[in-house]
Amino acid sequence: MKTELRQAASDLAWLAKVPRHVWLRLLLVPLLLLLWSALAKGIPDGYFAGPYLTLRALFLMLTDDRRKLLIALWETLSVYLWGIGAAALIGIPAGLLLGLCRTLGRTLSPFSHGLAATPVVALVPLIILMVGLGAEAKVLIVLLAALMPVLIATEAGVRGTDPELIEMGRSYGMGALTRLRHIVLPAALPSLMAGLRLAAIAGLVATVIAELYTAMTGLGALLQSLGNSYRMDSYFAVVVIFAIIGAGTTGILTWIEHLLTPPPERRRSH
Amino acid sequence: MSAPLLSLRGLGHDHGDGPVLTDLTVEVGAGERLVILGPSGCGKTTLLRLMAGLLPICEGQLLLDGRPPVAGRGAALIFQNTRLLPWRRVRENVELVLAGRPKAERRERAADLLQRLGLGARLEDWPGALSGGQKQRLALARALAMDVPLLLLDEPFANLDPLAREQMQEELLRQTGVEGRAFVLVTHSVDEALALGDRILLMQPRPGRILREVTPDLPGIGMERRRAPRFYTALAELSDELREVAREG
Ligand SMILES: Nc1ncnc2c1ncn2[C@@H]1O[C@H](COP(=O)(O)OP(=O)(O)O)[C@@H](O)[C@H]1O
Ligand SMILES: [Mg+2]
Repeated sequence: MKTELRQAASDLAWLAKVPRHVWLRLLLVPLLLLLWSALAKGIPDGYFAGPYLTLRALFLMLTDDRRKLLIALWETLSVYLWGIGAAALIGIPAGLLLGLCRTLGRTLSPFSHGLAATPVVALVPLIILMVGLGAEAKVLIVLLAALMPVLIATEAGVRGTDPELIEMGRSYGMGALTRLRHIVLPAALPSLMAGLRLAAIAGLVATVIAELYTAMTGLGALLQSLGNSYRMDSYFAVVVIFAIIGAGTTGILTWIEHLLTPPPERRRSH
Repeated sequence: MSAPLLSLRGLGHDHGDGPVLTDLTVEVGAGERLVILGPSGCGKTTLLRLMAGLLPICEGQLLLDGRPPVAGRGAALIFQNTRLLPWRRVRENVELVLAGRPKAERRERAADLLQRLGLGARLEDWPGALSGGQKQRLALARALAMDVPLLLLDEPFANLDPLAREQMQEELLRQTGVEGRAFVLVTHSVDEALALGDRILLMQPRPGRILREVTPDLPGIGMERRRAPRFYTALAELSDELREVAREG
């Protein structure tokens, strides 16, 4: 009996290892649901839906035979992931380049910040004119919205590298590539990853804009048609999906950062 | 006599706001131990950065092995603050200096050096987990990994407690002695200068220049010197002189 108890206790030992913020997070879920339903009580039907109706609609849409939601989700995710993927692929090397070549970085800074501040909606007509209404246009819109946060944050991270460590590298005969890999990149990583998280959020907003302003597809179009027909329960089910995509992407990025960060630096990251 | 390892002729420097160093003329032979002693701000760090090829030479001449110094070749600089890479393991901090050699050889050489410096058990640790003295040992191992005949040390032991400092001084003498490497060590500690220098250059600030050269008339080197009765008389005399220099400057 006693050994069984002890066995049970050691089986549950992993529970003690779960970080405090995870417990607090779990605690927040019912709180948010309560708040949500309180809010729903105060707003007339047809403008809002409470958690029960929303989650029921979500379940029905997910299990629906015509799979409208799943197809829309697939369309949205592919635009979104291609867009932010391309932004990372272009933004990180460009940010490294601008951070390493100070003159180039200083010269281009007003332009990159200007482009970052331009609402992507304003560029939509131009993009449609150039590449049409198809998937390319959508990916381009997401790319434009997500590029500058990555680029600017990467550049800032590179410029923030301790100059004394760079000098150390130089005086110990490390080549430019060795210095980049072992000094600059580790130093710039936290800023770079913060930029990616911001880009993931800006990119999701841009995905919806792209789906509404070019050929109507994906979750954005679904949202529009549900809103127009006042089906608020399904409407908020889609809103919930957007929130999950946003939280999921930033969560994955945080996890990647954790993997890339050497243990002594981890205390400072998420 | 063969050409000196390091030779300065009329060397000067200016960061842009008045001269920091003027008219330095010195020679350092292979395997020689030179200590530069001077008050803070007299341009000691600037001088070492010139020797390491980290600053351009604008005034006078500085030759290392008969050529102007190039960063990353010819001399290894140990910084005032250790400048270890916090995100690389102890072993990797040394291996990075050995770039260009096969991986197995780098590992072996780094492990061997760290072993010699008493860090054999800490190869896989992070530098942040080391004590101040161990960090300096790691910095010394990294410098020794550079296969160069000259070490440049910028007040390397200033942040250590007296006991750890003495141990590190002995370590430096032992490691450079084994391989016959020369060093130029910069300090504002008279005690350190007297214990470690074959020759001592006394520097004067504003602008930094050489006041005079002292050749300690003491037996041996390091601890052996410290035990000589005359050490303390010499220490008192040189300290007085340094105080005088600091006041004038
Ligand atoms: N990079 C630099 N730019 C401008 N002035 C500098 C620079 N480095 C050092 N100085 C100045 O040169 C003088 C000598 O500095 P330093 O070589 O660090 O002296 P020490 O190492 O003897 O304390 C100081 O007045 C310092 O302010
Ligand atoms: Mg100094």
